[in-house]
Amino acid sequence: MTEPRVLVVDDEPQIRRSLRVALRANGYAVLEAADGEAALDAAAASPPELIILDLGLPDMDGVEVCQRLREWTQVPVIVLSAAGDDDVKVRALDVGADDYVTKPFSMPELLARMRVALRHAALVGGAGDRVIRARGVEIDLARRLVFRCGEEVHLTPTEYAIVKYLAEHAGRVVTHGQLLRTVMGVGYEDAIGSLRVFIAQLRKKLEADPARPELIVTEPGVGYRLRAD
Amino acid sequence: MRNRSLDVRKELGPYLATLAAVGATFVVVALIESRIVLPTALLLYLMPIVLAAARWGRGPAIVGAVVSVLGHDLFFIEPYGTLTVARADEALGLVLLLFVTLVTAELADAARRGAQKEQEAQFARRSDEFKTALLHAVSHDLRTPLSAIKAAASGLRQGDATYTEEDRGELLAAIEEESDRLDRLVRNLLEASRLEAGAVLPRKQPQDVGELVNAAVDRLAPLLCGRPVQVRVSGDLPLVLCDYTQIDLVLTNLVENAARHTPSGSAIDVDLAACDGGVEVIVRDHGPGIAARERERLFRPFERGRTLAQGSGLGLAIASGLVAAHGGRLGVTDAPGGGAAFSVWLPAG
Repeated sequence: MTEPRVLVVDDEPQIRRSLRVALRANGYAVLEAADGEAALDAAAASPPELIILDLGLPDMDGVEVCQRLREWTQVPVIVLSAAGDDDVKVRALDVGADDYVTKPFSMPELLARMRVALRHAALVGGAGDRVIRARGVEIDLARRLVFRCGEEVHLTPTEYAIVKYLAEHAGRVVTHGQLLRTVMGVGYEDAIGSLRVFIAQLRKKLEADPARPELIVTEPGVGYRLRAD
Repeated sequence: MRNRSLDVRKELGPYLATLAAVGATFVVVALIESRIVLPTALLLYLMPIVLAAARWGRGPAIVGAVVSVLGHDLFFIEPYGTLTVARADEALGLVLLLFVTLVTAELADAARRGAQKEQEAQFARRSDEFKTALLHAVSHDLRTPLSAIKAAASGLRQGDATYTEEDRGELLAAIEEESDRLDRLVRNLLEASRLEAGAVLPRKQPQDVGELVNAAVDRLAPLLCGRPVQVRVSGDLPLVLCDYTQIDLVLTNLVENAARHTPSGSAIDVDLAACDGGVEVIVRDHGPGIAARERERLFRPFERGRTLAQGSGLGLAIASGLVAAHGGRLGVTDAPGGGAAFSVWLPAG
């Protein structure tokens, strides 16, 4: 098996250096870009399997880089954001970034996120009938059925739509805006209150302890993540 | 002892000045008294009193008002040399003068206090803005080296990764160099808040600036790696009376700036020469240079050149403040053949 190629986009040479060495030691081949233009060029010239993208680039907004990548590729993108940049982070996720880590981040955390993103990309690539299993819950996307401890759980159409979207992005963060757009349609992106109600109902039906959710976890200020096994 | 007499002089000054102005008004009135009517004469006294109130507040103005009324009575109202007033209209005139001057003094004083308060509020606002910008710089620029350190350290601790000796060395070097960078940042932040508070007191001692430049270049070696850096000294340099740590920070900031904002591998030249009774240090790079209209902005805190995204935007502002505290000059021009040239001039003694 050849090493997965990762494109690291950060204007700080020191961050690229730490990442280059650590990622290489973890079995990745590392490409580097110091700004947005170089990142887009590098991604087009020899498409990587994953992109790590800093949001604060000198020449263009990281969100724009993400947007322009999504015009032609579904390569997983993990953004590096600074605490306090919630706004930018959410916008990047909304335009198609797959996940984020907040600076300063630890390598094990970043590596875990990278594994999830790569696994997900592989699954999407080889699509087909899929069953997602997590914490005693089984989501059968082909038959549109959800089971908990082997028993079928009845969900309303909206609840199912939410679970389906989360399951399709299992392990990755999904923003409020993405969920609302998919489930309720364009124009309802601000109805976070109603989304909370649906999530609470879902947790009641699916979680062992709805007060301490383990399946549908909250990403504060961003959205939700379905934790797959 | 000397201080106390200074204080007394400082406090008495406004009173004496007001009295002098009132005295001058007496002279003017004496010169033109035959040609003016009483109300005009009385209005003349308003001038020194309103000015005194606006400038120094209520106290000197009240003293001035009382002295004007008594003096006018004494010198210009019959019977001369006494405080008696024979005619009713003159008595009324003096009472009115006293009344108007006192009220005007009060109003002018209130206006003066208002202006003072506004100035203080403005100062407080500016200080708040400075703190916000400082916090912003801290949160962004402390986090970058911290992130590099955390990524390297957590990577090293990770059990299942396979590091070569070289990899380990590289990650450890990253940790050490980024710690140095954090240290420089903290020093800059400290100096920035000292400059803002006006509390920079250079502890001046004779220093060899050439030595300072070489020390700064040596310390930045990891950042400069792979670049040709040339330090050239022309002739004998006089020793410069300066604060070692502050001028070291100035030179470090200039060299770090040159390294950070130019393509890696491009040369940096540092030239030292005796000039104008002092020493001039010129740091030249071969980067994109700095547009003329951006130059002035560069030395203000938290400003960065448009093309330069990194850095706190503090380095040059601090350098400029510290050089000024030494009675020196800091400027930027084009380097021959492109690039920017920052020059520092420090007086020798």
